[in-house]
Amino acid sequence: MQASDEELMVLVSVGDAEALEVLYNRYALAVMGLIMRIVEDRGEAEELVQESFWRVWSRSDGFNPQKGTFTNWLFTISRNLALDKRRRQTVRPQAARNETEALQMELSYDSSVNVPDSAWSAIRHRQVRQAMTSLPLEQYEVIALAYFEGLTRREIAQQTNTPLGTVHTRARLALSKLRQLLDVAREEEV
Amino acid sequence: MRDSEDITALLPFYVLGALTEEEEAQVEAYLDDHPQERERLLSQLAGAADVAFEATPMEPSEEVKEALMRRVHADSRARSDGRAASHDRRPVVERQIERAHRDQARVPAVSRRLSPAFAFAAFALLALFLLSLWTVSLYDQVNRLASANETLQDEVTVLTGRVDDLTAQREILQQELDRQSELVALLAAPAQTLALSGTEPQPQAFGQFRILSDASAVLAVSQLEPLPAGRVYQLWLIHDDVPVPAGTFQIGSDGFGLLNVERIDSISTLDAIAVSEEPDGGSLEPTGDIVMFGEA
Repeated sequence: MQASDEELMVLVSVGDAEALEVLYNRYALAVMGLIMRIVEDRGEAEELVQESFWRVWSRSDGFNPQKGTFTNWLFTISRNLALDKRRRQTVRPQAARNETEALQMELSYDSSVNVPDSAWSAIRHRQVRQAMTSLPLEQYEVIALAYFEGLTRREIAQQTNTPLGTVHTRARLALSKLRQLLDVAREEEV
Repeated sequence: MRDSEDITALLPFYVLGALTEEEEAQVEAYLDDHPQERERLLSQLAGAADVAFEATPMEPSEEVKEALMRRVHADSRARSDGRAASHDRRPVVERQIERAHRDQARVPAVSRRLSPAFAFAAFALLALFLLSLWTVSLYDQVNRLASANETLQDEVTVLTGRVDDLTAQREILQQELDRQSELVALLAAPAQTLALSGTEPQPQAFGQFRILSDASAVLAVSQLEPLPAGRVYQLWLIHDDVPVPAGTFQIGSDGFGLLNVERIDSISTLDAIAVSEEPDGGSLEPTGDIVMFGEA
């Protein structure tokens, strides 16, 4: 039976390198995809992937299963590294792009083309992708700007020229609907 | 302290990690004080991890895993050798790196980022850029000077032409002055003077015939019309009604003419003088119109 993330982290915390390697094999694709989405540079993304898992190894005592899942903790590490890297970059051509158009391009991307079917990440990605594409564009936009661009809610309101209360509502509706859709998808998968 | 309604509004952004540090602390404080609320509220929302999976998975190169595992195995060996004895279980290398980062934080951000090679490349690019700007500036200056030079050349050409014109005018005026001076000198010398008037063909003409003491004479005429090519004016000394040719002359563009007669024979029998139009070289007797006449 496959060890859970939390069990593997117990092994990592006592210095089991093979446990880390299992976690790497399990989540490296997703971490790489997340970081690439933010920094948009393969070389830099690979460095940050290594750093993300190194921090999992070297700061394993920072993971508290009572405060959230391993994937939440891992993706938080990766996302923070990627956002910090992007903020330090001197030139961001993407900053000048039309965010709505960029998001529409993201939503139109067919994720099933290049992703290996055998990867657990691919399965999860398809579920989330399908759920996210079913969200109204303005709700998706709030989620994407908050998570992948690292904008605060006030920055999102300013960028989208939307009242702050509307931003709150859209975020809540988006995550609520996303939760429902993913619960259904997990049940169907089982 | 925020109330439940505020926390509900902030929760989606708490989940997504999109709150400020202050806001995040407030939400965590609320959830810590209300553990049942934590479970209820968070269970209604998809997590950050779920959103993270929206990004398209990508496989990093094998080198990433190899490098990671080398570091992990090295650290694992170090731990088992007991060298990582402090509560800080991080490998020595990472502690050294963190210490280096702290040291670097004291260095201005610009110099921290610049490796020697990068600094040299940046300096070279800056120097190239400044050189390009200077080159463009010089090129522009050369063009302006060339244009100004052309303008000055044009002005020199115009002025040279004007100088030539003025020189020619000066020469003409000098000739006129010389002629006038000669006439003044002749007219001032003691002599017998005969006046001539224009006849019907050229009534406007007038002149003087001055017979000097040495029996030479000079004819000065004015306002005679210039003659076409092949024609001249001829002076006649009339003795006993017989015209004797005494020389030919041309008229200047100003209508003025002078003729020197070397010697007049038989001045005492001179009855009159006349001027006529004749062919080039003159005639033995008048053939053309008599245009001027004066009695002695």
